Amino acid sequence: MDKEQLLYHYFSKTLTAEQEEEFNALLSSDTEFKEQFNFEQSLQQAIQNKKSTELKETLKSFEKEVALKSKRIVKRNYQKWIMAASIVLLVGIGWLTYKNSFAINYEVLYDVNFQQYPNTVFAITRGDTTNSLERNAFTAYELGDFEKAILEFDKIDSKDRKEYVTFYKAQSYLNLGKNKEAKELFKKIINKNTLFVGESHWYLALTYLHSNEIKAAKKELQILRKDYTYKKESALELLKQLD
Amino acid sequence: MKNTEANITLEDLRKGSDAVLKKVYEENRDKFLNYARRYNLSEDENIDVYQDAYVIFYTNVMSGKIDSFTSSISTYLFSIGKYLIFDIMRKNKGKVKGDFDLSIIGKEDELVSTIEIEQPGLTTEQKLLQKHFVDLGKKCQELLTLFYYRGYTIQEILVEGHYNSENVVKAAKSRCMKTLKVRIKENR
Repeated sequence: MDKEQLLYHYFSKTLTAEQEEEFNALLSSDTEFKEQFNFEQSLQQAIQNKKSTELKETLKSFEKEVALKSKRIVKRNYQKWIMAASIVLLVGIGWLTYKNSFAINYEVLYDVNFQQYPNTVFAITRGDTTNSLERNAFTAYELGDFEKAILEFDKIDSKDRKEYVTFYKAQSYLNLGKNKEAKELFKKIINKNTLFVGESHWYLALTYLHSNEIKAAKKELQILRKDYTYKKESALELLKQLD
Repeated sequence: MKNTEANITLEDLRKGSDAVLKKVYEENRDKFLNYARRYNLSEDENIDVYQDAYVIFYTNVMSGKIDSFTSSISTYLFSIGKYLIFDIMRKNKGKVKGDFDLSIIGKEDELVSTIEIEQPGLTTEQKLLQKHFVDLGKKCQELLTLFYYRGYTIQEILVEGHYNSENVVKAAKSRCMKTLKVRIKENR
């Protein structure tokens, strides 16, 4: 076949198996052919690079539009917010005067410190039947559908259940505000598991904090500070605030 | 295959109209940024990662590496974005604010392994080629872009570029390539 035709079919991805053989043979035996191929391939990369740079610029312009749009919405709501904020401020001042302002608000401490643990264990990819239950669970978890995540975690047969599943199930309970269920699971991880133990001490401490069980919270934080690296500094900071 | 989430086909994307590109950008932006925030990078970094993931996804669509949707567009963007974030986290090891166990996030994402993530920089020769390509006439640039970037066949270019016959397309393409080669030679 004509060499030019072979190159044409290569770049338009229409080479037949037979043509591909001929193409590869020429590539290793014919210097002129190889040179022409290299030239066209380089041109393809140069064009691709140019288009990628242009696309990135286009995306930046989209981003500017998005930012502008949200600025307008913020501006429109500005006055409403000012009014709402004034009311909140007045009520707030009244409440603070009433309440002992020196008392530690443990719920606030909980909110400040609580952060959902990201899925770092399961890569969500296209349909994989062997891991589909785990996949469903982590997809729901990443999307913030924690009720579904728990249901899916429970469907995983106990013999196939990886150690980290308990930790993410506990996380799901925490995100649903079901601290009692979360606590039990964190305790279970601390007693039986090897993965996510430090993390479980941290979250257990936070749940104790949430329910005003300060002594128990401090105990967990001290264990964390002494034996683990996870959130060591945050644990120290929190302990100082609780003392 | 239809992408049920955004109702955008691979063909729509290949045509590359600004409206389609923008729709995909806006539909996935907030979801992606919400997702990325948990990794403690700055908001500007997250936006940058989102845009880079988008460019990588689109380049793979155009090069034919993604020739049918095996997942939704969101899944592609999230998988590539996650890969890029973890890459930044690995490079910034020690500077990561959250105490995430980096050793367990290195697992290769199956979807990511089917596409080309790394976008290699151009060689000196390719940069020169790019410079002369940009200097070509508009018609030549369009034709070569349709062929080498969009992967169009001569027949498709005939329709898209309003040429009279396939032979005219072929002749125009050879002329453009010849001009490019001559200009490069002259500049060596």
